[in-house]
This record gives sequence, C-alpha cells and structure tokens, in this order.
Amino acid sequence: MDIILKNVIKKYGSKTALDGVNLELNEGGVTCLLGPNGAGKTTMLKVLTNLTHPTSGYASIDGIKVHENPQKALMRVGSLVEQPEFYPYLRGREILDFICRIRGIPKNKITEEIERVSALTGSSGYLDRKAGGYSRGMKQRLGLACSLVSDPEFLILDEPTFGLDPRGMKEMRDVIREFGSRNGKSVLMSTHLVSEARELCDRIIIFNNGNVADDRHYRSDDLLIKVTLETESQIMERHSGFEVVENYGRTLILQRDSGTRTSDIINALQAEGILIKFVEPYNDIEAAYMSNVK
Amino acid sequence: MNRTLSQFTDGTSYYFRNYYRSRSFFLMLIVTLLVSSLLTYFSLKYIGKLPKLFPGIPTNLSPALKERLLGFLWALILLDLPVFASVFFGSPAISGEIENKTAYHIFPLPIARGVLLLSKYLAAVLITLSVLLIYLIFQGGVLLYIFGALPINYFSSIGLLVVFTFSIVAFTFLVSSIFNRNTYAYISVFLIYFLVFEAINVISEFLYKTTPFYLLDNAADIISKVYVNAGTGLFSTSLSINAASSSEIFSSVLIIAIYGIISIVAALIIFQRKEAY
Repeated sequence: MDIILKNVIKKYGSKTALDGVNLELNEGGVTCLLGPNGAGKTTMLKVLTNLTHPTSGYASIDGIKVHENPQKALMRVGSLVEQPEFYPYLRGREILDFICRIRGIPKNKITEEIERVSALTGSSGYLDRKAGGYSRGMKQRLGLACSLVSDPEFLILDEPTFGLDPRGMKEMRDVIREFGSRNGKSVLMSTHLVSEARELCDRIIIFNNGNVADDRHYRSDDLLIKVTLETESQIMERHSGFEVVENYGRTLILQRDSGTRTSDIINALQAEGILIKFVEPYNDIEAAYMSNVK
Repeated sequence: MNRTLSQFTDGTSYYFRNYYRSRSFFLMLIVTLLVSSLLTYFSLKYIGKLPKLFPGIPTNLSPALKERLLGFLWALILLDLPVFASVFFGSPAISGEIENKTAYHIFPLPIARGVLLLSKYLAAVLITLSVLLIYLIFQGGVLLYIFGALPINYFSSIGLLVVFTFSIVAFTFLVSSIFNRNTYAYISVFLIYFLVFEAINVISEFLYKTTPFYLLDNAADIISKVYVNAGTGLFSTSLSINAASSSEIFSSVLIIAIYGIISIVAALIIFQRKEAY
C-alpha cells in the first residue's frame, strides 16, 4: 500500500499538533513512530484514520485522500488508536460480529473469522462477556482483534502494548512482528519506548514537536556494538578491526569493520585487561532519539 | 446500496441491543411502570368523580366523553415520557462516542458516518417507543377495563406519539452532536426543552396573548388534544369537549416533522465533520 502525508498541518486552536508533516510509506514491514508524549504521533495516526481532519495538507492511502473518501481509503486498513473502548453492553463476540458485518465478510464466514482473530490475539476466553467489564488489557486485545478483522493490508496501531502485562506485551509484539513479516502487509505503529521500536521495527521515524525529526531504516546487521564494562577503563579510540565511537565510561559504543567478528573484539579488549560485563548489538536509535528529542 | 442497507440494519440491531441492556433502559422502564401504576390506581378509584376534575364540564357525561377525558389525562402525562426517554437514549448518542472513546474504533471502519448515525437514531427511536409501549398498554388496558372498548382517539394519539418520538429523538441527536461531553448534552436538552421553550411561551403569552404554536412542546400537545381540545396556555385556559380538528392535527404534525427533519439533517452534517480529539 502507498501511504502519503503531504504537508499535513493540524492545529487545535493556537496549538500546532502537526507542523507540515511529509511522509511516504510504501514498503512492507513494521514502521515505528517514536517520540515523547505530545510529539504528534497519535494526531498523525488520527489523521490517517479519519478520526481528525488536517487543517491543511492531506493524507492519502493508495491515492485516495482519507478525509475526502474515508470509506474507500480505509477499506483495507485495520486500526487501533488510543486506548480502545467498546459499547459496554455488547459482548466481545457481538462487537467482532458487528465489525465483520461492516467489513462485508459473508455471514457464513463470520464465526470462522471471529475465531481466527480472537485466537491470534488471545481474546477467545472472554468474548462472551460484556465489554463494559473488561480490563484494560482485555480491551487492548479485543481492539487488536477488531483491527485484524478481514485481514487488512495495512495496520495502524497507537501504542499497542500500553496497559498490557509482560506476557500480553510479548504476545502483542509477536502478532505485530508476524503480521509485518507477511508479504504485502505493513504496520505503522507508535510508541515512546525505544526498546520496543528497536525490537519490532524495520523503519523508525522519530517525531518531535509535530514533525519528523529523524527517519531511518534499522538494519539488524548493523556494525555497532554496545559493550558494558565491569569497571571504568582507559581505552584507545582506534583498534585493529574496530573503533570506539562513544565512550560513556563503563559503556562503550564500538563500530566494527566489516569482517570483524564480535568475538574478535571481546578477545582484543580482554587482551588489554579490560573486564567485560555485557556485549549486545547496538543501533543508534537511542542516540538519534536523544539528539532529536530535547 | 445492498451493503449500505445491511450495514444500516446491522447497526440498528446492535445499537438497539446496547440500549436495551443499558441501565438507562431499566431506569426508564421502572419510572414508566411506576407512573403507569399510579395512573391506573387513579383511574380506577376516581373514574366516578372525573367530571368534577374539569371545571365547566357537565357532570352527566356520556361514557364516550368520559373515556376521552380519561384518555386526555393519560396523554397529558404521556407528553413528557418521550422527552425523558429520548434524553436518556439520544443525548449521549453522539457526544458519548467521543467522551467514551468508542469513536476510536468505530470511525475508522469502512462505514459511512451517515449510516452509523441513522442506524443509531433508529435504534434510539425504537427503544424509546419500547418504553412508551408499556405505558400505552397500561392506558389501553384501563380504558378497555372501564369502558369495554378503545376509542379511535387512542389510536390517533399513538400515531402522533410515534411522529413526536422520531422528532424529539432527532432533536436530542442534534444537541448531542454539538458536544463532546454527555453532561453538556443532557443539560442542554433539558434547558432548551423545559426552560427556553417555556420562556418563549411565557413571553409570547404575556406580550401577545397567544400560544406560540411553532414550538415543539406546544405542537406535541396534539397528542392529548386528540382526546379533548384543552388550551394549555399560562394565562388562558380553555376547554372544549371536542377533539382537535383535522387542520389542527395536520399543522401540529407538520411542525413536529419539520423539527425532526431539520434536527436529523443538521445532526448528520455536524456528525460528518465530527473529530475525535
């Protein structure tokens, strides 16, 4: 799918929530909007899902402007924006049934579809209870199930793991990762957790003050390594096969030359008498975040 | 077209379920049962003394006129029930979508906002009529028990009540679509209907000695006037033992319908532009 935001400005009175956002999303995988609270992430997702209308500019999905023809633009889009709430006196199953019908799933396939999405999201156990009595986590799971109805091509998720317990967070991330890895499927999700962005996303867009501050693809074969030391040590900047790019005392960020293995670096450091506590892959998301979000 | 129609019927069905399982519905049901029981007790106990309650009416009334007078008393109370019921069901209809955040999962779905609103509107009308049906069953039962038959006025009154219900629910939807908070919507409907309309009534009667026929509450009086054409003005009371004329019924229905149509069209326009902040 081809998602475009063209010079999108959104103002709430005198406050500018989005300040001329330009973005193109046309590859698969998981794209993350990372930024602090109030950066404009949710507003951008709301513009994309017709929950709010841009003051100027436009958002389009496959060439269809969302605020002009939302029904057509959002036909193949599933979404979970803010903390979802449901009609309190309807059961989870009825809510999913209603959404299946709105999305035009044939009546003889609805039960099967409800079973599919509820199994995926772990919400099967409480579908026959009224939604008014659901916990935050249950609502979040049901919200994700609603967004997966009819197997959309594009999934828009606003802080999807918010309010979930650790198991719920892991399960939610597994669903997102699995969905994003499928051919022709894309996820655009917002989070304020750098670790979540690093774990899930192929592309990370850092949002700050209503605009894109940084936009980069995360590569799992990144050459950066984070080394945590037992004690603070003196270390040369340049070594054979790697270089110290950041030195925070007990934490070093190293960039290895291509062909240098992590074990080579560990051996070289230990040969210098440096005691290593942890070695982990590192990307510069955190640094980018810190330098862009003041 | 078929898909839109099925979305509309599915929407109505689910919104109706959400209404009839709600506390508001049970509260309205209890209030209606209470009022109906009170009026039933009153009717059975005081039916013999009924003419004395209407000054200027001869005491030797025919059973048909007595039945119309009793029907008129029941209809006087009936006038307020759709207003309260629609405040319960209609006032939070749109504002609640924003305040309760249900809009966040409903608005992005591939369904026209107009279809959403109209399906909810029909569900609200049906649930309001369901509450009123209890009252009408009590009323019909009492009239049948005392007089052995139901007058034609009873059925005319029901027909007008249905038109008024469509209109008053539309009016509450319009007010609800303006706000993002349920409390504002509830209070505004009450203020407009019971305070603003009343203020216009008082001013008009005080200055011009006339009842402003164009107000929804005055037009709705036709529900009782089809039994007995009693003037309900503040400074002038008139009581005719005749029922309202066809032209009076027609003009009242027209005013009620105009309120309904304008309200629902305006609600649709506002809802179309509604944003979930």
